[in-house]
Amino acid sequence: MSNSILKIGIPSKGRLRSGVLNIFKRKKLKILSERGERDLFGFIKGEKNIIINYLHAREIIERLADGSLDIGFSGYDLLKESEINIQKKVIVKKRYDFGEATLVVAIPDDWIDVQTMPDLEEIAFEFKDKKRNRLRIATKYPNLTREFMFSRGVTQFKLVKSLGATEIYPFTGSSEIITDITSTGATLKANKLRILKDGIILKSQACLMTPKKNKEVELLKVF
Amino acid sequence: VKLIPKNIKNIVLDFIKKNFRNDENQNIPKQFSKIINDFPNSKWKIKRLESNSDVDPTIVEVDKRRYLKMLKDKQTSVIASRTIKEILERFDKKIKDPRRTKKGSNVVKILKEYLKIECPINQASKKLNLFFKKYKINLRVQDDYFPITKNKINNLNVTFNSSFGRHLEYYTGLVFKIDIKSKSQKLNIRGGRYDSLINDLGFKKNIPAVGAAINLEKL
Repeated sequence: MSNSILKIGIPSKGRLRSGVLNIFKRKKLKILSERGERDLFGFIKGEKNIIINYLHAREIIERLADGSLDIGFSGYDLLKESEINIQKKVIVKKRYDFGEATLVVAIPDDWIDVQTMPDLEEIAFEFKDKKRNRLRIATKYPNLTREFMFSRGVTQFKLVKSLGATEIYPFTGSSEIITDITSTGATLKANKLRILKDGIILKSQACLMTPKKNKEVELLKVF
Repeated sequence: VKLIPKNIKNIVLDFIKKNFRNDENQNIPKQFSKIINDFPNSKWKIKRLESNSDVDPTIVEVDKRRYLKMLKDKQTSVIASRTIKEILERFDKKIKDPRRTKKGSNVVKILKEYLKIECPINQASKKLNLFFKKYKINLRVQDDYFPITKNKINNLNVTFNSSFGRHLEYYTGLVFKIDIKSKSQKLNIRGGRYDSLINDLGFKKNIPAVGAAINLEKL
């Protein structure tokens, strides 16, 4: 291993974190932290040149793009949602079979007349023409949502940015429909929402990513 | 230069609508109304029109039960900005959709043929008239129908292209694109006529307008 310090970014919480830590365990790499489990810095036993940073999964992608991380673990959806200039600077080296999630278009269950994206297009026009308002879509993924809607001919809408609990928006009058990440669909169902038949925007999973301008990293072969 | 007047599109679309249903009161499902304008982005819709797969019988069956239940609910109650009455009315219209697969594929055949028309601008009226005649569309285009009749302006070839569309709703007439290639650079210009745009944005008078956009990044 070269003399320079290698920085690895690991998501600081949630499913992604535990999944990534499992990889390290399987590869028999022991992660230690000086100040216990909540320490956001870590290192690998016996590897002096490696620093581990625990960061927000979204931020890991940004840090890879600006070169302050050499290896990062994050979700494919978060990479695709990020700005195009950031996406250009990051490459996916490996996809894992955990952290699986799908970004979908969900509508109120009672909108029985809406089954497909063309239906949604028609409804969007109805909102514009009859209600003098735009169909509102609440989402944590504005970029992916906008792109998908345009590609399916739905152009008359307004995005409502959400920070969480998006499922409730249609019933509090904050939006009409939503796009959200789901793995089993249970949360959507429990909140009286239904996934559109052809409303699958993106399938995502945990990924190993590196900056495009990467120094050859030997450790990559390990993961 | 490629151009296509929107009103021709509308006439072709009207024709398709009429041929699509036996009952004249019922139009082509509205969700397909932008099929020509959006081409080639609407390729997937053409496929769907052809196979008639937008109404899935099993799902309709499940939803019908819910429909009957919702009929008993208060019709004015609102679900995500739409009243139950509104939802049920649209559902009702949709499942009574009398389309047959055969009809769908016929329409798509004509549609595809129309979308294939591409020729130098001075042949456009002739080609269109042939197409209209073949499918007994009661329409003829005069030779001077197009604002440009010459095939060459300076060094630009002018062509008519029926599949070219700008899938933005504010266009009201002719749309065009100009692609200029020289040794050193490529230039793309896209635009058209938008007579009601200013009006839509809140101005009281209608101001006819023509405009175009140039991709500066590629300059």
